Amino acid sequence: MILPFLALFFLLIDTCYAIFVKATLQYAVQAGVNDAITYTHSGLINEVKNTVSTQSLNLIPPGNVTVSFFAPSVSLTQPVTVGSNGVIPNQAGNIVEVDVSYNFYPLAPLFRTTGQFGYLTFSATSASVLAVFPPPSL
Amino acid sequence: MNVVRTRRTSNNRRRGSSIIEFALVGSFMFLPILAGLATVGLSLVTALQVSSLNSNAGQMFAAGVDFTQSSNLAIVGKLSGNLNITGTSGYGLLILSEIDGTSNGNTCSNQIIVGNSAIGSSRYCPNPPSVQSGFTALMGGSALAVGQVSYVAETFYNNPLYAWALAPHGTGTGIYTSAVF
Repeated sequence: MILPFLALFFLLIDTCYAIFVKATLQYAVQAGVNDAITYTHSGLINEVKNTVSTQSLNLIPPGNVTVSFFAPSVSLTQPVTVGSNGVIPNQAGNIVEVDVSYNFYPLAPLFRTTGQFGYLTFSATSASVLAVFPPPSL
Repeated sequence: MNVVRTRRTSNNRRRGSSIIEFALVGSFMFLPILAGLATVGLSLVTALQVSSLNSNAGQMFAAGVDFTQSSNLAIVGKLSGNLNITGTSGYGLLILSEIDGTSNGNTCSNQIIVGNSAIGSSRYCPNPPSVQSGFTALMGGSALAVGQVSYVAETFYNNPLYAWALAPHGTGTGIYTSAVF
């Protein structure tokens, strides 16, 4: 009797936590993008990564945040990197995209068969148009 | 001996009745609470995603990103994530409208529709180039002056997976959000 009860109890906790994580990630990437499009000082990428990490309540370490830049005049599928075609990645009018992913390990082993290592991967993406001119150093 | 046998029988009966109680409480209280919690929670997360997508796509559209090119639409598909708003199918619809102030009043000069158009239609430009009076109300009662441009982003999302659990209380209209740039 106690096992089914605990299973339901942990399922309830896991469901709540999963929903919380997903909502937090979405909010964090949006906050990171909002920071990126208005940030005027040097070290833009590190600033965005730290913002996303802080806003995600440190669920995501800064190293796991991906910041990409796209030039609409070139391609929105291939990110622009420093020195490619002489384009400045973060110049005004370009698009900044922030991606994060989080491996969610359920408290109870009810979902443990999901995925290779028994976790669910949640991801969130946000993007917007850079507005600062002249662009700050990356 | 009779006393011991009576106690065992009584314990067995209690255990049996507690199993029935657990089954009743589990099926009529615990599982509906869990289903409701998951449904409301997932709907809230979806609303957050829809709002974020609408805001991001609207900002890019207003900044001049050409979404008539299919390669540029890829970023919308990426932003929509598991909402899967791409092509002409799915449970979501994104409508981007450009409204211009002209000497003949407001006209919807450019409209881009991404996703399943059967889900809904624009509340401000359902039949371009005409603009609904709701847009003027949205702008505080005055139409755009000649030369002024406004960009409207609208997103619908209606997943039938959520409808069943919200059936007693939900309205079935899904999630709608709009933003003006």
